[in-house]
Amino acid sequence: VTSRREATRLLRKVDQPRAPHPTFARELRAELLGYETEDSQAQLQIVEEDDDAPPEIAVLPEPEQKPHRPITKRRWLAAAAAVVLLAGGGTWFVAAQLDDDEIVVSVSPETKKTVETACAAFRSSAFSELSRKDLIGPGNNRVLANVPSARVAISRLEQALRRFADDLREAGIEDPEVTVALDRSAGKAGSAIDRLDGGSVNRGASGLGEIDVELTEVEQRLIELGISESCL
Amino acid sequence: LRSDANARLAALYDELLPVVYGYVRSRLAEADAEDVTAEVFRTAAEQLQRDPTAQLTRSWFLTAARNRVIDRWRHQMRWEGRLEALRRDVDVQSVAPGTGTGEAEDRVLDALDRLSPDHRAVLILRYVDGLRTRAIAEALGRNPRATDSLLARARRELVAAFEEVAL
Repeated sequence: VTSRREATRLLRKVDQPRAPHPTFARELRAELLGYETEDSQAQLQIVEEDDDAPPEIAVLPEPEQKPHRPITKRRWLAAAAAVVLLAGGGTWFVAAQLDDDEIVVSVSPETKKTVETACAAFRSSAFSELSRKDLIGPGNNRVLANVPSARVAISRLEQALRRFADDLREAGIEDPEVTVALDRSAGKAGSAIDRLDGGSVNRGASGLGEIDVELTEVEQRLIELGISESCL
Repeated sequence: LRSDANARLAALYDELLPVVYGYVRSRLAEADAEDVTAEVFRTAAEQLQRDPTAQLTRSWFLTAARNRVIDRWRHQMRWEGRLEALRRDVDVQSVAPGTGTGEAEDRVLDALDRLSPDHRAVLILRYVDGLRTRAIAEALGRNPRATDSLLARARRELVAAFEEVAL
């Protein structure tokens, strides 16, 4: 089973020199140059014998190939450093997967500090005098005493989620798993408020457990990326 | 003069055809990739016929290829009037010289071919070209949240496509 991270890792390697189909290469060369070199003529004869050959067989001489080098930790670190430099700023981050278990991450101290500030602001504004467990954990219907107070608490949570997502974007955290989960959570908080309007605290509170799951995934992702150990 | 131009074009063709085609092919389906590659080399040939000393570098070829890829994206996805911000010189290192393709890269290409053009484009812009979400959002005329959602959907589609090509 391919993970999203594995798919992304493979995707980063897609830009490679690639020989087009031999027929295309031959016809374009003939159109542009009007003649064939001795080398290409010799190879054309091979291709003519098997014109349905897969595209990997090139009409033209292959460019000089570097010997295959196995993926090493040093190479991944170098690649990660290069991407950080290419990003052109000190606030971006990059994660490189070495294998299924180990992740190497480079995050600037400024980014970590900004994220920690955003996390603290979120915890403070989202839950106020309540705890995360009180508001979105199991049994929250016992804490959310009535519709007006529940509406105030959930509205505060919704606003805090939206602001948190914006703060992370401002910090340069552009990981879709993080920002989409936060946007989705804010949407679920909005839906909970709509359900409160039906007059039932229980119905409004029931969907908040899904936000707890989303936040756990966000927290896990931030740890995985080496951005924050205890954000939420 | 004509023979000079032809000799230079032949050398450039031999050296850069796999580079240009590799760059374009990761962004477009095979037929479009061939069209764009041919257009780039035809333009190079015209320039060399006019001026056999014209400096046509690897960067020139990749930038010409990129501009044509953007034109295709705009046409395929009805993104007319957008993506202008993406017209820029291509980093000559963007297609690693001489590393060749293997099974993994072919599998990526097979998976990309199964995606819709817009999903393919945003994945390439984000993970291959390394553009930040905000830059992609501005180029597409979308807000960052919508772009994140588009990226998340594209990644899910890519994973599903990987599973299909693995079967």
